[in-house]
Amino acid sequence: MQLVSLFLCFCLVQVVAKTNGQTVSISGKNLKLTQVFEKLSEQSNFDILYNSKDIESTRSITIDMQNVSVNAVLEYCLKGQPFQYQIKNRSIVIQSTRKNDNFQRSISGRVLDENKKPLVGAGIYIVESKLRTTTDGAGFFRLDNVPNTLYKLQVSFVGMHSIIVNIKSNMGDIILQNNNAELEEVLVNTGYQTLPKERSSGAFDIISGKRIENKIQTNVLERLEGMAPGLMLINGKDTGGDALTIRGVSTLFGTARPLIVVDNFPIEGDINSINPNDVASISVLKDAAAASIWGARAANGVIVITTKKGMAGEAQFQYTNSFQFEPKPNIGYLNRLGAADDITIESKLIPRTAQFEQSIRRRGREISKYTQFLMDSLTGRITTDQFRNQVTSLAQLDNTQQIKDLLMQNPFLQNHSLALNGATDRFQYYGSINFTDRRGYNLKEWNKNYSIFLKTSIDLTQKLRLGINSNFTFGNGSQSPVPALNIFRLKPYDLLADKTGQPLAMNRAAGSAGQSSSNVYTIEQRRAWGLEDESYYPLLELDRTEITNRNNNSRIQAELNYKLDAGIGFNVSYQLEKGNAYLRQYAHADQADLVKTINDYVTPVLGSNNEVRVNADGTLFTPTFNIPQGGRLDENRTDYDSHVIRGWADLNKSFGIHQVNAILGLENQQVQMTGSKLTKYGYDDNSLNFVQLDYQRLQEVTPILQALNGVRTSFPSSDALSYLENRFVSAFANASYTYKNKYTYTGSLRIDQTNLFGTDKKYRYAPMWSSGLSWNIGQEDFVKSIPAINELLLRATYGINGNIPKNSGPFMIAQADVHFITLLPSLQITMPQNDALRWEKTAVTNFGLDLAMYQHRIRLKADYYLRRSSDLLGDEQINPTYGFETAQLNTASMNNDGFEIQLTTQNIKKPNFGWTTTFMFAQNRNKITKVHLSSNYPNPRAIAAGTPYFEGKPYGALYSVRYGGLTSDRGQLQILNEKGEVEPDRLTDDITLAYYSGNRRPVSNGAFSNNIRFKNFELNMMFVFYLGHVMRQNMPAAYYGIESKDGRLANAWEKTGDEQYTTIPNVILDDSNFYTYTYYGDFLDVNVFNAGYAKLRELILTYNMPMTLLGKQRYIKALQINLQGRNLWTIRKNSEGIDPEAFSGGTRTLPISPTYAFGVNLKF
Amino acid sequence: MKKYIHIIISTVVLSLLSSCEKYLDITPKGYVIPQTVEDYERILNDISLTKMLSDGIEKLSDDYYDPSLVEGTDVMAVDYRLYFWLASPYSTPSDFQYYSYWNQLYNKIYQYNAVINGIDQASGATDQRRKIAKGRALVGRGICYYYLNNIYGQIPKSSGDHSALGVPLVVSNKLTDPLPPRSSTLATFDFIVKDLQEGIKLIPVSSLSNYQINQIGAYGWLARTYLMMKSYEKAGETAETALKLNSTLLDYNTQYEVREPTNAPSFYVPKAGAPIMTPQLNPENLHIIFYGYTRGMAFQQLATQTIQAFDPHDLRRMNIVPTYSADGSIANWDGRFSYMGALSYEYSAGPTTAEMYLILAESMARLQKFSEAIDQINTLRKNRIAQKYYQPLRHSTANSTMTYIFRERRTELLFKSVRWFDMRRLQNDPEFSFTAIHELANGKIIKLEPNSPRYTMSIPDRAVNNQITQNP
Repeated sequence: MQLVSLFLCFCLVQVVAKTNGQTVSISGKNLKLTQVFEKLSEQSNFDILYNSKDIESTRSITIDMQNVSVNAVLEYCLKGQPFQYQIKNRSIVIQSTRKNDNFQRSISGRVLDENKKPLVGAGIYIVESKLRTTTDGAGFFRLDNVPNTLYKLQVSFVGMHSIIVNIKSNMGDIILQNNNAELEEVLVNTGYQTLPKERSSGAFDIISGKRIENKIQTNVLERLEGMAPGLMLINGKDTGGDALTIRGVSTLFGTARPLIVVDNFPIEGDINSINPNDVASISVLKDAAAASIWGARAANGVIVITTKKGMAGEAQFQYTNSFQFEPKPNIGYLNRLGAADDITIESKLIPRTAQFEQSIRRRGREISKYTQFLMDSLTGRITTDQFRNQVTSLAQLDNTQQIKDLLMQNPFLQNHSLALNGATDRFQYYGSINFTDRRGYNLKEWNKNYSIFLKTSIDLTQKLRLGINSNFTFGNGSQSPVPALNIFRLKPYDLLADKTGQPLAMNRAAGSAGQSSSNVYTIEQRRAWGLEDESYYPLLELDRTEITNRNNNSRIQAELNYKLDAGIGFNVSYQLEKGNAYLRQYAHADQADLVKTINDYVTPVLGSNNEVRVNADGTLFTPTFNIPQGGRLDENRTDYDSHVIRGWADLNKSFGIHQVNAILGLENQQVQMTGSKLTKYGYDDNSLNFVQLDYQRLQEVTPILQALNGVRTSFPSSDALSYLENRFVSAFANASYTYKNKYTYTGSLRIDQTNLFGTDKKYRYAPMWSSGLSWNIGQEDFVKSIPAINELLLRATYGINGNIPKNSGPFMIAQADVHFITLLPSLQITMPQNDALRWEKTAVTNFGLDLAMYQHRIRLKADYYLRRSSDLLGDEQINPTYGFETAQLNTASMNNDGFEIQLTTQNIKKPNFGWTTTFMFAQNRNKITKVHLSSNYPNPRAIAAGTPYFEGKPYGALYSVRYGGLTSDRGQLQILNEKGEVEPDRLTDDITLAYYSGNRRPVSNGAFSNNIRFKNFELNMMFVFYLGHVMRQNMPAAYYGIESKDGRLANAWEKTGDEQYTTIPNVILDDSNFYTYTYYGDFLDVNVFNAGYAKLRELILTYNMPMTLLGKQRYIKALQINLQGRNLWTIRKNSEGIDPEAFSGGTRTLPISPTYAFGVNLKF
Repeated sequence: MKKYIHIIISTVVLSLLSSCEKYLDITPKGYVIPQTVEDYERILNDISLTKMLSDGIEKLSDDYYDPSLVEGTDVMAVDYRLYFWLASPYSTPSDFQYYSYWNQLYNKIYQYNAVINGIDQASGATDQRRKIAKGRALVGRGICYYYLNNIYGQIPKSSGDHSALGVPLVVSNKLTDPLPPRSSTLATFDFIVKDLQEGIKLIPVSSLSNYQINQIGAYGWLARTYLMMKSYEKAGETAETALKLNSTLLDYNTQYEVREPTNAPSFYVPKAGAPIMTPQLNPENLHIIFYGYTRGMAFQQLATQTIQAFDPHDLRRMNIVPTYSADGSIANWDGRFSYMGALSYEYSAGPTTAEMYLILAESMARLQKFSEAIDQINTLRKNRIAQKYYQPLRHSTANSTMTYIFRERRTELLFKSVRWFDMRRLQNDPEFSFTAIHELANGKIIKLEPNSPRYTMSIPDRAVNNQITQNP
């Protein structure tokens, strides 16, 4: 790795060396001017800028000058030629002397499309004049006698966006962009090479940067929803893991996420480091032929993101911004039971006994305000009348509005991006800065992201090109210490503030896991003891905790390409990626949780009867504080860095009717991640002082106050270190051969090696490969004669891709422990040595059809695929004689079969009015064909609660227990067995009680989009839909305590006969059947619902400001204004009123609110 | 420029190719991958290696009485199948996880093999420590095979019967290596003896605690092994070697005393001031191992025969307490006893000095040295019987002396994983063969005839393959 960096540095030094030295020596006969300039530039420290076209026609020179100044040489060479020179800084500019001669000039140039193909007959207009011409057969144009007072040129072509450019005498190449999104998809980038679509046989989708330009998601992957059939983004959100998949999931324990490649390198860092405005195009590689060049990591598909590069011409700026507004989420969707109903139910559940009150006081069990009143009334602390009045007023309270007003804010997202691009003859550049500011719905929830991107490419010589890209991202943010949702889940009658605005305390579950409970009584007791107040005031807590995060990502790439004339090129490229993330949680000394932790670990002095000794005023007698009073700091840091180096040769050549395209190369990659977590007590944020805790002693501290409450837990320590290092070495080859532009064969081969596993020679060099054929029927004469068909292509491919399962290795892995009697440190081997571990493999067969008809107005793309994944890692049963009952082995198998259709029709195509419709549909049927994991599911509850893998069922299968109605006498829940008989509701290992009730993952998804263009207005409308999956709601549970209840409990069984119309059991549980509820209640098939839905995901109205409106100014080249709304309308298949995107873990989550955005796109 | 490019590309290609193997040859951190001598020593410290068995082995023995079992009900339950001496006692995954000797012992063998195979290449520490770790692992592996062979190995019909199958002798740690076939029982015993003898040479005589195997403990296991092999002379010699290193016997008279209530059997309590003999305190323990996942046989009831083997004044009655059944508010002695091994849930099932005396006695008796044999028994009994009732035994007939020895083994070694193996050893003995019985609460008797195939346990189905064949 260092060696390569050294080489790259060496190359850079060479470039610089070219301009060293002040005097020059040049000699030669009949040299061309360009040759002289080249030598001159080699020897001097000047760059010589000239227009090669101008210089072409000059006469040749014979020269013999030794150790003379640069000026002398230039003077000599240019004498008598129509040029003059100027020295600016370190550059010499050679200018034609012709053009400044008079007030008129000639301009010339060439008009090309995005693929550098000449556009014939393009219209060239000088703005504000009648001068016009069209391009010739090679795309060139020339206009003579253009007055110097005119400075704008408009170039237009049918089907292309017209552009206006500043006039100069040599306009160079003017590139027009296609205004028909579908026609521009012609090049596919695999991350290793860029190929014309016709010469590849694989299944891929190409999305141009333009098509995602006006969207407002800041994560570029989220902008792909509904853009590529087969790509599924659950809920349209990239939440990591298997939320984003291509053609289904093909692994059990490996990673299911596609490989993300940015500018030819896989990225390890955050996807948010990619500014979506910088994206030129995205290729989604779906089958083996398209993706197998990525070998062992391609089984999940590959998403190749290519960023923009400098475009020929002067520096051009583009400023884009968007403002997105969102109302506060409608928390009413969460369906919380109102205060009055809550009190009614709770009054049925609370035991009215003296023991209960004692136990509450002793154990500090959390209780609601109602329970508190009830206990006060039962023990006579208040009268019955007082109790009644208090409860009546309690029943009228509702804190919803206070939560909205005091804990929530309107979410907001704004984005500013300024990009610059341009190119001179030998230098291309693109740069952008981007700023994103996001505010969440919870108070104090925000994050800001800044990124800088610079991409340059220099032609060092005509054959040698150096490209350097760099990308830096910095982000910081803050999270809310009091999430509104957490407070909403508490009692509806607990207000945040009284009428005068004074903060009020709330009853809640104390602190984090591992802490004992607390309630008003224990808090009161501890205050009487002279300890700090543990009460939880949500409004005060907002300022008592600071949760902040920071992250940095940087990515630097360098690439050298050397092209030989023979169509052969050599390339070396290197990428360094570094990043870190930092999460900090600082609890002030008065944070309720922290105060409670400190109080819990106070050791009081005990009297002779084990009572706590107190002073005369009731305060503790010389208590010992085992945890220092003061703040607490939690820090979590992670760092990663990754190096990739790649060297390859490519061949791109045509011999008459034969076309060959091939690459061959080697690659090394190393990824390293380290992390650390620490917690400090007694922390002071000013002095940075803290107190070192003796964790060993804390485990033994006794008696402590929390033990007096009946619970004693060990003191948690979260300090941890982590480290991960992966290395890969790969060799790859890829070739395509096209005969007569009709028949294409493609093949690829890749061998990957890693330190992760695989020492068995049998598997070490197992290659991933692919092979594919395509037949461009459209080029056949018999089809060419059918005018309706513009394009017809058939594709068939087969190949094998891999996937990397982590967490296994050819090592014995042991777990550390301590022998509890001898206290000696010990190890136990928990993972046997398995040399046969190998890549998971997915064989993909793909058949595809591309069809375009009626002047490309109807376009159809259809693919059918079979993905056979085998060697999947799973915990498999092995012969116990080996010493282990299960081991991670490559034995599971899974099938993913499906099809994808994309149909685009241009319904109306008129100069001022256009309407295009795109329909996308993808279906994926997943089935696990082999797995031996039965031992992991000891009972039906584990199956229904988990994500079980069973043969014949899909990944993501949902298992439920049969609902057997409510008993008519007491409204208790019943469950049924396989035969439909009522089954005792207890823990059993009869796993047949749980049965397959559907797939959690959508089977089909797609999008329906319309693009309507009228004059300068454009309207985009996209519906997305997800179908074929199910979800399950938990049965509402009624417990007494501090939490609010599910609104469905209002329909709970109350009397005989209710079982006819409700499925919700009596809130009073039959003691003997106690487990009915807690055991299978959340897994009943009666609560399973069809989760299919469609959403109007986006509606974008764009207005392209006509140039005429912008007047005579010469700065603005284009101005676009857009308005958009997202998630405006939902059609759902379930009748419970649940939005499947706002539902998880069996309960409703905050609803997805419609959002509205306003954006501007300005080019100048 | 051109030539630089060629240099760059060819160098990059070459460096990529040449460094490949080395580049990938790194060991991940974050996991513990045993590499150093200390790592391997830590494997030997693992608590689970001292939890050798499940108590099922005692439920097979005729010392055990289970009044809760009713014929014909719950036939798939492990306890039922063991008690009724049925084939394949284990059926559910958790049975195998918690009870199956095969699965558990081969897991321990895996740990020991890891030490044996890895210690020589391990870095750090001295050769001395390396040797000791290897020795301990060899002895540990020997112990595992001792149990496996005595549970799953078929009983040879004669001293030269190699057709009786033992167990597969796994010595590799690699899942890619094929499993060996079952060797013969006799060959398995030879393998055990070899492991123990090799180990003994490498380990120190004594250790910090008897949880760690030392020479004395290893001799104890070797003596047990020879006894099971019916190599009585060698068994005696080995027991003697062990006794030379440690012959301490704990005089129970200093530990316990008798209480004699009127309406109930007399019972024994620890003497005031005497420490409770936890396994690590008991000087008789040569090596400590426990029953895993259970509290051994604590609270389990005893067979009538076993209770009868206890002399009325035997202080070892301390370990067996009368069971009372509640009838209304009054608890009555139901005439039975349950086991409360030294009042401790965790009592050692490993070899002790007392057992060495017993092995020595049996060895002498088998070699016709009856009076010397009786002396050994008396040495032990003197420390076990209440002082004022103690009478030394005398030799009269070969048969009576052997009976004394066997009776002493039953009382002294109760629930120490010995009786089932003694049953296997003696059931078809020309002189002492017998039919074993289990009582049921309803008075019915379950019989295990001599030479019954049920003396050899079924191998777990999942372990059976072409070469690892099931026992009949």
